[in-house]
Amino acid sequence: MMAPADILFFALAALILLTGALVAFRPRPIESALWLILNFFLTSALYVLLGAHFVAVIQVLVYAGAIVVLFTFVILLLNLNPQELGAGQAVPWTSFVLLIGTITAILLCFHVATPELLRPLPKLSHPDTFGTVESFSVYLLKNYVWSFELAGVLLLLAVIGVGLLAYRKPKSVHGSSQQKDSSKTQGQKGAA
Amino acid sequence: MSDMAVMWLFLLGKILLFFGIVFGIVAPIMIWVERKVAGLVQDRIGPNRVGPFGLLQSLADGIKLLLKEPLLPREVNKPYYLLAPIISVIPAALSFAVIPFGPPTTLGGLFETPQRLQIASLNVGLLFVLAVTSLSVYSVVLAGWSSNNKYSVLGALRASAQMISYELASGLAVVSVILLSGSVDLVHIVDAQQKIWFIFPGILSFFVFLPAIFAETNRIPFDLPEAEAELVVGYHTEYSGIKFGLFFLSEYSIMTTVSAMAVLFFFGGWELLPGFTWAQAGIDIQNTLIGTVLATSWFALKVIVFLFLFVWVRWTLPRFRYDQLMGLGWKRLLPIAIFNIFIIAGVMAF
Amino acid sequence: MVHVSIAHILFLSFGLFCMGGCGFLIRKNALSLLICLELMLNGVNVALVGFSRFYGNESGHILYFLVITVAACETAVGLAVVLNLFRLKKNIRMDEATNLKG
Repeated sequence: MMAPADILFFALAALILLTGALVAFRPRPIESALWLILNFFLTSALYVLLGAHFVAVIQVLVYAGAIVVLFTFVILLLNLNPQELGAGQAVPWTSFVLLIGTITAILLCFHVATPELLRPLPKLSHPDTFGTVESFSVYLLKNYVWSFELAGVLLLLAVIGVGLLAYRKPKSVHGSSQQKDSSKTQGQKGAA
Repeated sequence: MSDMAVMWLFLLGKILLFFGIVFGIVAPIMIWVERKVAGLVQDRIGPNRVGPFGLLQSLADGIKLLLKEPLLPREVNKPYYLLAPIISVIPAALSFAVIPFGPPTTLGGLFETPQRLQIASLNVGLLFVLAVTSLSVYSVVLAGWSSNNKYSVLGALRASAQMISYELASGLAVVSVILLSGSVDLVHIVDAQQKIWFIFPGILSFFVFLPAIFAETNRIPFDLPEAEAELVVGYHTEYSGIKFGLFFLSEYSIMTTVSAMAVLFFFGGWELLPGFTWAQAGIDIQNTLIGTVLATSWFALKVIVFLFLFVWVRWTLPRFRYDQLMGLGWKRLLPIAIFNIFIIAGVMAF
Repeated sequence: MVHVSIAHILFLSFGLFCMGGCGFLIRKNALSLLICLELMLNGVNVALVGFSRFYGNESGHILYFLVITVAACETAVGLAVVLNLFRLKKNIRMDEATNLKG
């Protein structure tokens, strides 16, 4: 009889794969986004099971609480009709090949997994402080300071890039009556 | 009774007590307080017919909401329409799992070691609350989008943009609290305030945190997304009956959560006075039952003061225009919060 | 606490990655493409955290953090690009974004 933690792991893994399949294969992007939120939540639970508490909370905070909100925003803003979505078209044959190839690859992995890989996870040497904020931050700032700073610079670059890409000068009042088609998107952008 | 059974019973008791009090007592009383204070501020009496002083008005309102005909407007996207109120209650309820409502206690000798009065004693409690309250954006977005109503969509876009902008400001304000206390565990944060409450060194972060929590709960002065005169009711225009009741309930629950957070971070939680702890007053809050009850009631009193502040501000201040609101969040509060982190980090380093 | 092997975690990660990859190669909607990309990155993150647990080291968590940072930046920039694509072509089907072809 497996330990309760193992049953929980397998249940979580099955649900994660199920929601992942739903994300990848639902026709409308809003449904994909919602299943993605659930996927991230379940992954966060998996991380707690693996003892990574800080990482689990960051997963919900950043991934499910900010990145997917960005997606949801853009989906709302663009407000597409079904014709524009590309839904309802026949799935091309290449995707079936890929799916079959994936399943084959997974089964191949099962076959070649060495016994060493199938041993249970080793016990942690310091389970109380593994994955906490303190130990993570000490490790980060002791060994990976440059990566940390570079990540900050990368975020700054991303902010600047998005500002440049998405910015559009507000059109003057006189020109808006002639440009009917772009004023609709302008109105949606102005409402946000 | 065996040890394990006592532990499970204690957990069950905590869950029942917490949820019962918040969803069953605090929310209805808040509704009554809101309407009564509104009346008194506007120089009228407020509800006084149903029960003594109108106290049963919330009960009557709740019964009305439950018994209303469950309308489903025709063109709504049914699964998301029904899902949105449910999603709004989930973060509101989940965030209570880590809020400690009293000091670690042995409940008058019932336990050998002091047990925490938290449902789940996470060592990343603060981040958990931040993460879970950031999920409440989705209910707004889904409600607005599924309602098939242009006012709802506009209200939803505005509300969600406002909520995520002020999440940033509140998160950065809380970073200074983490710096001062050296931990993200909520009980450790309160314990670190035994010498001095964090309102004093972190006064600037409190001034950033307070508007941020008003904006996150969509309360006046930041409630343009729900503005009655301008957007009908915004993102919950098409909701009636118990669906609207759930939105309402979640709003008051999140108000309670962020009030509790403000008390825990800045006002010492259950500590008696800044610099004067319960131990110095001669009351042992950890080992005696009466001490624990006293500390817990003191904490509840502080939370009630904050809740009253929410209601008071609502009926006193006019609302912000939307561009003023976003300008405040991004151009003023965010730089102040970052600057504040520099100041506090600098002072702590030297 | 949990006694599964590293192989199980890696299977999960691989499964997530492949599903994200399949979805990425099938989808015509640009937003769905980006969402499947997030799914792939999630799969990678599971593997990283699993290895971190396997070695009892926090390095996997740190790499997880960097992957999340990159994912956030790439999502933001990708969405800005999708927005511009929409402004240009009034829809976001990937098989119509062929201006630079041939």
